Amino acid sequence: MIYFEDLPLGIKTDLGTYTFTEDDIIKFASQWDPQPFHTDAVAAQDSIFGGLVASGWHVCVIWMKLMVANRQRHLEKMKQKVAGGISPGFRELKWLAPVRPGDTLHYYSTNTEKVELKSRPAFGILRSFNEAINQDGVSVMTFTGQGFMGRRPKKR
Amino acid sequence: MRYFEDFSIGDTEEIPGRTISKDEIISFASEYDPQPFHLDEDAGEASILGGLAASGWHICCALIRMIFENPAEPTAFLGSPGVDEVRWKKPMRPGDTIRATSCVLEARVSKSKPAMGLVKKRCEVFNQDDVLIMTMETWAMIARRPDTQTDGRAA
Repeated sequence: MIYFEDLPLGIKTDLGTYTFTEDDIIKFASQWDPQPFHTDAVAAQDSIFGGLVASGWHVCVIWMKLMVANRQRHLEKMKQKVAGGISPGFRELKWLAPVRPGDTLHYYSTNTEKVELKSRPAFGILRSFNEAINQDGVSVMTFTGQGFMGRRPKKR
Repeated sequence: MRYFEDFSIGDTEEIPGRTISKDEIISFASEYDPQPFHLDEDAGEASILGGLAASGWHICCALIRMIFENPAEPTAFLGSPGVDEVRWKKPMRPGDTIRATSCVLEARVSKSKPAMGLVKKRCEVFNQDDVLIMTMETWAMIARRPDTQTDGRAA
C-alpha cells in the first residue's frame, strides 16, 4: 500500500495527451455546458472566440480521465495499491487560452505540498500543480489539485 | 438579455435543480473519473464516501448545466477566466435532487477589454435535504450593455 508518507514532492508526472475533435467538443458541451461558442460551430464564428472552443470543464475532466488512467498503470506496474483518490476540492483553476478542434493537449501533474490534518489524523492532504499545454507550447489550463491520502499506520 | 450592468454585489439567484440518477453517476464516472467508489456500490460502501457517490467533477458539470440550460433570461456571457475555489463538502448520491444558489461577490469592468466586465460569484449546491454538498467561487466575463461602451467608460 502506498501512503501519504511515501509520496515524494517536486516530481513532474507526464499524464499523456488528448486530442479534442469538433464532435467531442460539441458532444460534451451539449450535455454539460450548452453555450453557443461550445456547441455551434457557425454561431461560434461570431463569438468573442471567433470559432468553436472546448468547454473549460471538458479540459478539466480529461485531466481527471488521464490522471486516473496514469495512476492505474503505475500501480499495476508496481503491483501496489494506494490509500487515496478522494478530494476535498481544488483551487486557482485558470483557463488561460482557448482549446479548438484538432488541438492536442499534453497534461502534467506535480505534487507540491503535504498537509497534515489535526482533525483527521488518519489522513493527509496532498496538493498538486496541474497543467495542460497545447501543441504550440501554450499553457491552456492550470489548477491546484488536492487529494486525501491515508497515513501509514503507526507500528505498535 | 442581461449584461454586466445587471449584476451588482450581493445579488442572489436561485438556480432550478435536477435529479441525478444512478445511471448518470456511473456513466459520467466511466467516461471521466473511473474510480471504484464512483462506479460500484460495494466499492463505495468500503470507501470513506460510505456508498456510491458521484465524481466531484460531475457535481461541477451538473451545476454548469443547471446555470446554462433554460435560464429565466439569457446573459451575454463571454466565457470564464477560471475558478478560484471548489469545495466538495458532501457526496452526491444516486437519486439526489440538487439545486443551487448564486451570489455576486465582485463586479468590475475589465481593464484590458473595456467592452466586458468580470463578475465573481459564489455558487452553493444543496441536496433535497438542504445539505450543502459543494461550493464554487467562479469568475464570468459578461458583455457590457451596448450603450455604455462608446468611450470605454460607463455612461
